Amino acid sequence: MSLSRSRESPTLSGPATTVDEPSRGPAPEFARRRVPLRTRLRNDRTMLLLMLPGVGFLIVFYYVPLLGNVIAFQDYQPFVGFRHSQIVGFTNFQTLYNDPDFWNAVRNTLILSVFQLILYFPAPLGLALLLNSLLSTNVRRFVQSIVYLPHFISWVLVVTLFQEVLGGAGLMNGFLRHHGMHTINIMENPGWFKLVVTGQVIWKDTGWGTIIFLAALITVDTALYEAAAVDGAGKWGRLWHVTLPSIRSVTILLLVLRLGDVLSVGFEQLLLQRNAVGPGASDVLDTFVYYNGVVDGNWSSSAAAGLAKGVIGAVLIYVANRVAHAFGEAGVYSK
Amino acid sequence: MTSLTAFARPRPSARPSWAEPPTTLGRGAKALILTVIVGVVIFPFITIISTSFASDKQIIDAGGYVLFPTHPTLAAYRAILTGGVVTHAVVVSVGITVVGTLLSLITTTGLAYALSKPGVLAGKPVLLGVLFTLLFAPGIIPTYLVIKSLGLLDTYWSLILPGLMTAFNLIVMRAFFMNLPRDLLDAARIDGAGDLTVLWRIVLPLSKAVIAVIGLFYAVSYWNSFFNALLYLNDTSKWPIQLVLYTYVVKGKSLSAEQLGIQHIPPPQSIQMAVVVVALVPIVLVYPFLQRYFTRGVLTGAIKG
Amino acid sequence: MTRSLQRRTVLKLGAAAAAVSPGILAGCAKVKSTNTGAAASADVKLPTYVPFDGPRPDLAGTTQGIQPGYKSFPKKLVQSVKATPGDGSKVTALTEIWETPPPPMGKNAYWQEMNKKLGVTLNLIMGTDPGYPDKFAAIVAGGDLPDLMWIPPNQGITHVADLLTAKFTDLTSLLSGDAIKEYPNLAALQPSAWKTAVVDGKIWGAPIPQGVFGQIYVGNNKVWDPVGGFQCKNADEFMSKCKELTRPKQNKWALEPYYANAVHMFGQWFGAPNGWRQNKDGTLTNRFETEEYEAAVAYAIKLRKAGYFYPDPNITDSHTPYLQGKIAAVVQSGPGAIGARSKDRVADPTVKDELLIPFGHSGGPGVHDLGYGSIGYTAIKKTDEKRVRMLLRVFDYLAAPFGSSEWLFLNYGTKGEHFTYDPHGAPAYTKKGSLEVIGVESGVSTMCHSSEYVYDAQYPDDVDYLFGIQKGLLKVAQADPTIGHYSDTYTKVGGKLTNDVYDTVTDIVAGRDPISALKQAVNRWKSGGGEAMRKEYEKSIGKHH
Repeated sequence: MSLSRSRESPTLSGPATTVDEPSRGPAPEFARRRVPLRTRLRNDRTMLLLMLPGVGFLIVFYYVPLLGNVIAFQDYQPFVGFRHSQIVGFTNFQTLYNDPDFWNAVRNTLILSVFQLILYFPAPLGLALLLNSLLSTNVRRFVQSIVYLPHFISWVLVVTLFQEVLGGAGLMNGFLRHHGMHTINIMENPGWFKLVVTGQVIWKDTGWGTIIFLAALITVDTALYEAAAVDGAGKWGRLWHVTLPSIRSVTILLLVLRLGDVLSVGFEQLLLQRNAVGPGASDVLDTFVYYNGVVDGNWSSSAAAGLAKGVIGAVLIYVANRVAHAFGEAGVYSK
Repeated sequence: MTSLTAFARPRPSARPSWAEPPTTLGRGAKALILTVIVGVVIFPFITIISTSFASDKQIIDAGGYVLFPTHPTLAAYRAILTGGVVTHAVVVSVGITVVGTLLSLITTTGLAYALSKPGVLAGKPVLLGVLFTLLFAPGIIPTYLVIKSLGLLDTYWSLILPGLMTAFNLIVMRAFFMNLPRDLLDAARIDGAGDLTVLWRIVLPLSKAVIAVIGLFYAVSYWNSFFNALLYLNDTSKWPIQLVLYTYVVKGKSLSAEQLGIQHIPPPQSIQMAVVVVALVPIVLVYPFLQRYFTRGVLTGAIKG
Repeated sequence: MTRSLQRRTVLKLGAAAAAVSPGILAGCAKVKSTNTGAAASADVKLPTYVPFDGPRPDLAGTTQGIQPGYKSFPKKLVQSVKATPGDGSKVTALTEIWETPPPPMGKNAYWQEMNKKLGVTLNLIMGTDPGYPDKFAAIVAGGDLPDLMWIPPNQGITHVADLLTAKFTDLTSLLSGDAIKEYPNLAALQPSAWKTAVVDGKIWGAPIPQGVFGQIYVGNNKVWDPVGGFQCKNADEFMSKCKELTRPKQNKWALEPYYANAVHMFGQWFGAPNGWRQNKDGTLTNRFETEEYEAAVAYAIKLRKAGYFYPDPNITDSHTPYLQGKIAAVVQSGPGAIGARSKDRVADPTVKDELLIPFGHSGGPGVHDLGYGSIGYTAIKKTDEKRVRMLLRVFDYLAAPFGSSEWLFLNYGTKGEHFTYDPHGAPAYTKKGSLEVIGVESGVSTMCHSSEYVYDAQYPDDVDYLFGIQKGLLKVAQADPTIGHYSDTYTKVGGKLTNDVYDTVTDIVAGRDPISALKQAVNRWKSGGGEAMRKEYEKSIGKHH
């Protein structure tokens, strides 16, 4: 028995290439290239019906309003409307491009994303593996039912809690002061800020993030573990050869999805701490858009920034997906 | 003799036959890590819960948060729960969450299943259409206009429909479906089962975990609806719980209010903490029910044969 | 809170109930800007001021801005509205509430009674904070406007002049000069408030007054009395008091850590102008450009280096530590400061908030920057004149002043059902009253209420104290010369430019940037629109003086 799951291998997309080789004989059962449209409609009619609600939703509540992003190319005023607001072409984008604060925000966004990718992304995976390896269901249930709770606390409260402990007037510094030592102001230090922010995300969202991994881990066929044990694999061997490969595709999927979202690293969390470390360290794309677009009611500028974000995200997802393919993974979509 | 054997009888072990007995070091390390994690998470919650029960005086003396209420009082909860506004909003939110989650699951499962079948008609374009939504978002005003033109303003549907399906949930579910043992599905198809039968008889029963997870994600998102309510609802009696609870916090603290000179008494810390607790209660109640889907063994044996 | 157009971010922020604290607005909204392009040419005739002929206050107010003081609830109330204003129709109004939502109209006896008294069915669309500008913009974009819309200043509603002309009724002919006398309660609104309802030479709505005063330092007396009281003679005295007060080991600090606000306060000791200074030759200098402002920044740096500011600039709520004595002084807007004592007495009866009268940095008098004067105005959508007049009569009722029977009903409901009289003779809510009245009243008074007053039956000495403070502030008050004039550039980029300077000021005081960064920030301000604003204001002022 092979230890790696069979996944989206070429067999599933059909040996389409064989159609071009006449010497191969009659086309295999699942070749799709030459199947006429009508037949496909008939074959897939249930599937198409199943798709209907979802696609309908997408069209009505996503693609139609998405057209509203045309305001990125206009000088949009709500009372004038989409059709009559003056068109300004790429001016909004140029304003962004020329604004050094915009690039500062992009830089902060990317750096923060990298930090979170390296430090935060593995955390739920690690915790899920740890929980999965527990023998006692009671302990596991107990931990599971606690560890996801911070996800539901608002950022205001999270920042406040961190301040109560680590802030200039917090417990830690109170302790240091009491003993005559120099206070350390972690939360006011622009240099440490990205680490602090990542730490907050880890505290808040690790538990919640384990849910998906746990769901993936339970789908691993225990017979595989048994076989591995028989083959002589110890605890770590089983981890390496059974567990990890089994959740590899989910992990990579989440990674690619995360990369597509890489330019959204937070908003409220960073807005709350802007005063302490200054916009130089804390401004990210979403907060930049807020201060530049929203404060003055500049909807067009916000839309332009949103489009810019999307384009960059698209490039990243495409690249990441190709890399995933190179590793033999399905990624998010297959070519 | 019997007493000795009784003593010596080993307890049934939760350990599967193929796993080695745990080492003390391993156990110790795990215990330590878990204790730290649980501690770091629980400590603030204890503070929050305690503060919600603490008397105002104790809060002021302690400087904002208390660890253990010496004179516990229900005043904060009473302040929130009297008058029926909060309880009504809970009913509203429960309704939205239940209906919304159901509809979302149906929509998402259907589409995910359809897209998980390789080569399905229009599969690729639809999938790309879904992926596209990860990158770009429609604006508030255009969405508002769509809702308005459908006549859904100031209705509960305006809280459900705009968030009916998210790309993330769809893609995750699809990935899980695609990871199901191929041979099982093929066998069923060869036996003559149609797409619907395969879905109902094989895919769904095997996907309890992912459906539970995605259902949870949707439920949480509906339960948390806030901004949609703010934008689309005019009638405050339709407000969901998060919006109502939020006003308890904003009362007197809003900087815009301060800037505009609107004066109110700042809500005591106890009320703010009580608000957090009240908002958490439903999740805490629901989650354990879903936990059993996360235990091992759901799949064992399902694939044999 | 989000106003970004990213849906995901919106959902993220929708999280738990204790979600968005206004602290996130700390960077921009904490400092009240005094201009919104509320434009008037001095040509438009403001409504004639006719003071309310009601119960005499214990301390009389003045048109300069001292609010009348009442030390007890008037025994005899005057009926200020003779006839039911409405015509039985439905009226929808977009407003904002700052309280928890009330029971809906169908279940709310107070609301139903109010409808009866107003003569209309008043449907309130209640926005909350944050989110009002988004709702406002969405409703405007949707085209289906409610009859009345509250238009606040400083909330990202732009191109106001065009918006008003396109969708709302020009009320100038109905309200200007003596025409206002048809609506006596509106005539009792202070001229300083009416100024803000004028845009582009026309009157667009009933203003919602909030007193003339601007930001003031408010101090916890329990903390300041031991070091000699809150009032000071010069900047050095202030600093040495701060030094005495700041005891980190006991969790005590002098000042709240919002540096931009602090610099605004200090600026008043160094004589920085209120917004702009009008020079003798008719040109304008912005306060950011002045030496006085720079001196204020330098002073703030000194205080911060000495550690007198609370060390966590992130705190979203400085008021709770203030009450606890952890922070000795906080900056509040004028009306907030005036109302501070009675508000805080509820939380802690032993706290007597002190208001700091600005002094000169090296002795002598300082200056007090007057505030905006209102929280905006409520405009009436385009409709026929008969309906407009009816709606103005509704406003007239809603603006009933303190001492009128209408005021009592609006704020406290029906006697017996919603309130009873306490031993002082002052109204106090019943349980039903606080449930039904407070939420509705919050929404209604946001769109329309009477001129400001000071009333405290429980602590009448506070009324005397505040009277004295107001006199002291008015003695050194200075107004922003550009209020009442219109700058197109300001409405487009004014908020953002000001925020950028404040960001730099915060960075400088915090020590992240050297003080030379201020000049660079000012240059950016100038090139980003500041020079354009200056020209526009100069032109507007030159035209009308």
